Amino acid sequence: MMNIVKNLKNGIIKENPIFVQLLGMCPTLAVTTSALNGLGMGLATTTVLIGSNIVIASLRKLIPNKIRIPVFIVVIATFVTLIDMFMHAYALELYKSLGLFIPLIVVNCLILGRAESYASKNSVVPSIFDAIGMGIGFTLALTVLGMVRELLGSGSLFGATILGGSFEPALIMILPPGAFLALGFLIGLVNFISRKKAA
Amino acid sequence: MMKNEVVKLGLVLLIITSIAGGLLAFSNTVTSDLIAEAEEAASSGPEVAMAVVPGSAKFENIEEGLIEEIKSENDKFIDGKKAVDENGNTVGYGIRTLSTVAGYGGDMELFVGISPDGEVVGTKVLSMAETPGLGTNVQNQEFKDQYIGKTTDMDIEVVKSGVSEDNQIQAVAGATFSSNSYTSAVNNALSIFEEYIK
Repeated sequence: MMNIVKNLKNGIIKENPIFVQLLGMCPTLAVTTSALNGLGMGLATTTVLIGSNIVIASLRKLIPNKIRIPVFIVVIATFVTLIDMFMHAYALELYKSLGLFIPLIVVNCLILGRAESYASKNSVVPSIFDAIGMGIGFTLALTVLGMVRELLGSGSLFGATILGGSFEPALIMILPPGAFLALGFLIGLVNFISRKKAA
Repeated sequence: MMKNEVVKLGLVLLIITSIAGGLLAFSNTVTSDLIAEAEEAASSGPEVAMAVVPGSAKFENIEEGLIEEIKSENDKFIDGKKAVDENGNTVGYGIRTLSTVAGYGGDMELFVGISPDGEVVGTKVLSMAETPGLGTNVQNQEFKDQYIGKTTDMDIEVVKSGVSEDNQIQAVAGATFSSNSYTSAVNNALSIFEEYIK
């Protein structure tokens, strides 16, 4: 039980994939133009991560060491393609706004990183919780980033107008430079808080 | 010894990829029809018909032969539909076309609604890759409304400010390229209507 809590906490706070490990920057910067896109991307990645961690942890004794990377990639690519098909069938709107970045989950280093450094060395149950923790951490970070950018860049949150009327949206926040600015300030904030805690 | 190992590794990889391939083939058969349906509903469903031709209830197909003929002569044309109301009366036509002048993110795809007597009654973007917050503002009602009432006998022109002629519309501020691209699609739809459907 203690381990499970530790796994979750690790992924969400201590080793947050985005704010601490800076993994998977490509989807992070590209799709977080709105809170909903961030949430959708985070959930899609989490689903792939849980699936790949389960399969890799349960096959870890059968996979020869020399070909483990190609095997990991095949497993991950399979899950991503499944997500791609089902999202296309059931959530067309989200599918269109995430576009190319769904297939690109395959090369998200967060997923390969967890397969290599955790799932291939641990049994199934801890690997599931590792995936859930990391997934929540990733989703949370993407959603917060998307919220900041959407609020400043288009004056809305999850599509609902919040800052109407006199508020002039800072367009730059939903353009690529805004991704770097928002991410930089958020990482700064996270570091500031964690240092205060440590001191 | 070496050879044996290579064969063994190859076999393991073969087994894993075969399982993955089988799984994907299965889920493809499950989802392919659903995907086609969802795409069809999103691009030519009743909601699109109502947005493009006010007063209509849904789109109906027009003759296959005519669609093929327009396609072969106008390479930006994608599809044409007849918009009917609840009683099945034709209340207008929907022309699905790409723009003939590219915007910042390539061609846009539009559905243009035209009344039986050749007036634009509504437009809707199906896909575009314009800059969010700038080019995408061509989807604002205020901009789109300018096209309503334009007729087949005019060539719609974009001006940056000060609309003085009937055939002019005012560009979205900071997005002249996107406005031009949008307009070219509407013009293309009008000329298709004039030439083939009227």
